[in-house]
Amino acid sequence: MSGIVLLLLAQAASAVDLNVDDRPLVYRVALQETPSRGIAVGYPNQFNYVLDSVSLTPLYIWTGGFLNLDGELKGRGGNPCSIRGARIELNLLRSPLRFGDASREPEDTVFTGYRRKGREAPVFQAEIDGHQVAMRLWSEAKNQVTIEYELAEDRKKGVYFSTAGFTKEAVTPGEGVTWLADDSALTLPVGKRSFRVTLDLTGRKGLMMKKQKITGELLYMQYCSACHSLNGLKMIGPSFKGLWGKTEKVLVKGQSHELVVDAEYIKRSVIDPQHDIVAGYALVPMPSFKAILSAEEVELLIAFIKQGKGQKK
Amino acid sequence: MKTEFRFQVARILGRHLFWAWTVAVLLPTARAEPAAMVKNEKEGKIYVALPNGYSFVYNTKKFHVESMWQGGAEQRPEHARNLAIQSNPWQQNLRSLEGEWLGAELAGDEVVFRYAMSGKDGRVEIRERISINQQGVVLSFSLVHPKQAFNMNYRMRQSSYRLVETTGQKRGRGHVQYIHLGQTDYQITMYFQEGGDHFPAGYTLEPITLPKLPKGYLFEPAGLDFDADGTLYVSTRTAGVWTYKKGVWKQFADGLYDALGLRVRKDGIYVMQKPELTRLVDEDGDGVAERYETVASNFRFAGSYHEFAYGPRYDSQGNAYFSLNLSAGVGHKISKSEGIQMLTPLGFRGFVMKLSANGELSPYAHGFRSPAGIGINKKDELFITDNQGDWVPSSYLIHVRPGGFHGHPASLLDTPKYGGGETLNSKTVYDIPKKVPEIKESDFRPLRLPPTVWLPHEEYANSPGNPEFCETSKFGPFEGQMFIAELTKESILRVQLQRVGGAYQGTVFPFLRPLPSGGFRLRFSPNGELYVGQLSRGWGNGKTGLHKLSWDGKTMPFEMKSVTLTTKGFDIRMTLPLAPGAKLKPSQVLMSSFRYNYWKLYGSERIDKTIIEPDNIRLSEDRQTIHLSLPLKAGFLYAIELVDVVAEDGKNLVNRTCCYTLNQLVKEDTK
Repeated sequence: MSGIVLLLLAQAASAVDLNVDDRPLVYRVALQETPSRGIAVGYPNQFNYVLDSVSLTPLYIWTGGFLNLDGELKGRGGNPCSIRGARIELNLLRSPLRFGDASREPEDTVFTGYRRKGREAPVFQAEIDGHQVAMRLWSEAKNQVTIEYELAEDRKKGVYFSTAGFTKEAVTPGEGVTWLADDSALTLPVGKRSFRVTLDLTGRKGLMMKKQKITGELLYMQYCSACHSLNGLKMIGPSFKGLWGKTEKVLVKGQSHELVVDAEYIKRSVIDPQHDIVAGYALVPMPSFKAILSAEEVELLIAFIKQGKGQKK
Repeated sequence: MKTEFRFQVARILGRHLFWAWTVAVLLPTARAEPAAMVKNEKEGKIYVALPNGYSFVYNTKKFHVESMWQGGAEQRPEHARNLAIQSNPWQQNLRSLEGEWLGAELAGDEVVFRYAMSGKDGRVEIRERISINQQGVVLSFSLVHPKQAFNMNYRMRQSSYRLVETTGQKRGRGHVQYIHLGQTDYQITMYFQEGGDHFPAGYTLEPITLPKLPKGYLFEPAGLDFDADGTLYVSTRTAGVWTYKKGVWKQFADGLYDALGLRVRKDGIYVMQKPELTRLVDEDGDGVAERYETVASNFRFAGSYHEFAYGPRYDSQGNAYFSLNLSAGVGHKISKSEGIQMLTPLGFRGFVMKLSANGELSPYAHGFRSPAGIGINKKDELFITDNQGDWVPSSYLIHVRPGGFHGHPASLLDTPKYGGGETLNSKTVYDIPKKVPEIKESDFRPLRLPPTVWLPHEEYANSPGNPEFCETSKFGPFEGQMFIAELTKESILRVQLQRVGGAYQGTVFPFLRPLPSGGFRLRFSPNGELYVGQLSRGWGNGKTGLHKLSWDGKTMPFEMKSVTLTTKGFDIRMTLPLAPGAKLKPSQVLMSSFRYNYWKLYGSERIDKTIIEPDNIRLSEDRQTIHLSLPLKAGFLYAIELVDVVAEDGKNLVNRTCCYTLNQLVKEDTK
């Protein structure tokens, strides 16, 4: 039995991480706090970003590993996956590339897909108000993001990139690109098809996302339910039903004691399960969860056991 | 223990792991003998051998019978049939009650198991008796309720080939049985189809070795198609698209989002992902796609687990069709009542969409719940299989009619009558409407088009995959019919259609079972072999897999080839003639009719069930058609089972059952 328990733990502990090798990856999957049609891009240089395909808007970046796919590959799948780094929001306006009016969001953007080849940066394509646009985004230096747009036809007039979300100092316009009089947007050179803008993210705080909305119930299901019931049923370990505040007979180093189940006791049981063993449960020793559960997660578990007295509402 | 009841009781104490096996071997052969009971206190299990030669194990810690087997207790329980009952099956509002074991006694020629179930509203004392015979297992409960009885249900697990009937409330999910409030005598009857392998003669199933993926990754074949050279393209849930040629796998595309279907076209590989239909193009001929072109995405995908997209299928004009699953967790409920209901975030969930050859996306038909199977035949007729749930009382096959409403009302919110139907664009595709109009049941009930062929729940299908059309003579005598893979039942079904009054109806037959794991996708190769894609982890059982099913080209399997409705009854056409002089007795043709509730609850039991004895059974002159005469009623399903029917060449009938969906009566017999 303990073999099975340990196997389950081993499974829970091994994460399925997607790493970028020598060529960029483009990956579509449910991501935390990301629109359903978001697309993740990872580069060999550990720079990654997510683009909202619907409006061709880059949303956020991170550096480090690419994706953790546990949400999609474990269990039934379909849970949000997570990025493996601190998320830095770009805070650009929706559809920053605009035609005719820098302050007006395009009427319609039709995302037409992407192209990837070998080590080249993936190119995303859309029709923005009828204009065919290709976009690439990459990073060559820390805290710097470069976006390059390419139009299908020579630009005549009125093509803008809204820099809202960035101070003027943080924006380095590419060759031939100029500021509008009110500094709200860049305007692009007549007769050109492609242009760049580099954005500086220095000083922006990255946000580490929790892998999943972790709840006490979730932790219980994942780590405890194989041995501890919620309904009073005697399994490998004592039931959590009515556990909180209960007086338990425990064995400490072979000596019988009585104690009242409280936060301290549960914490000790999770970290050092052999310290006190409830009478009658010595047969299958519980493994320590010290290296598996964080202090915060132990607190969530305690709250779960306390709040419902183990019983779900 | 009480010798006056003349019961033979053995007490066996076993400690090693194969205890159950030992007991079974040591148990007396109980033929004309009365029942025998062996208790193992430590395991909490009671082994019972019934006088009629059946045996079972009862788990006193889980409060249910675990498994049964036939032929007395000398058979090893490894061969036993698991009855798939939930651990402590007694629940209040779908949550287990607290059980208290009271004991088991021999009484009459049965064993009575006594226990009590307690919840917040009181304690119920239950006595359970179990009888087993050729047809199945009957659990009989006597309940003593508290003064204020509360709602109780008995929960079973999904299982293969089990059909459940109860004397309780006729409602609800197939495996959750509800008792009437305060009901004191309650019975659950589990009928089994024959166990064992049902492989038609002449067919071979060969496994195909899957590509090796890094640890943690899964290869789940969810879409299959071939190119003109015979290269197999496989789309997967999470591992992109792969090609398979001459035993070599190569990844063609990656990073795709639940790619549950694909089609090989001249201008690229079209793959259906959750958010869109995508064209994959290998521009430089290196066997890897460079271009991922979005072909259709103007439908809502709110991001919930169940918002799968299935397809695409192409008609002869180059129009594409794909189907969109309703949502669970995001969107609007149709009925205000409690219970499990699929939702719609609007934006054409529950629809079949049509992408015309010139690129225009429009709603094509609606009323679908979980339309996981889509197929189109050479005549450009589009078919969908839908999965049992709310408003879909049992899974079924639908011939999709343009503009038709096919059953689940959630999709109605996207029709003009309810203010819907507007094409989405980049500005609206993420915005789920906050308020929706109320839908009246009386408004849509008459609009529902009946299913073309029901695939009765538990007996035939719980989660059907795509219909695949047999348009080859290389796969046995079934050209013109279709095959459907089944996830939960690990089987392949066969469907034959009949056109009556301008619409299709027809018959479902079991074809092959068991597959090594749950079947999901079928596709014929250019050589007439049927490829089977199998999924696991919560969809199907067992491991994912890919198999090739082929016919040897000469062995004629003995099957019911077709069942045709006539003005008088049914004509069953066999694949082989019966022996000269063969006659069929009434006891060899077992028939019943039934139908289902169309309602918001999750699934329905069979209702209005009638046992039918045909007025006349006649074998044709060529001894290959069985003519049945019986009273017929439209709107019913007719279940037929043939018993001990043997072909002239000595083959036994392997698949003995079928079910005909009678939507319309035949006015005139075709000659």
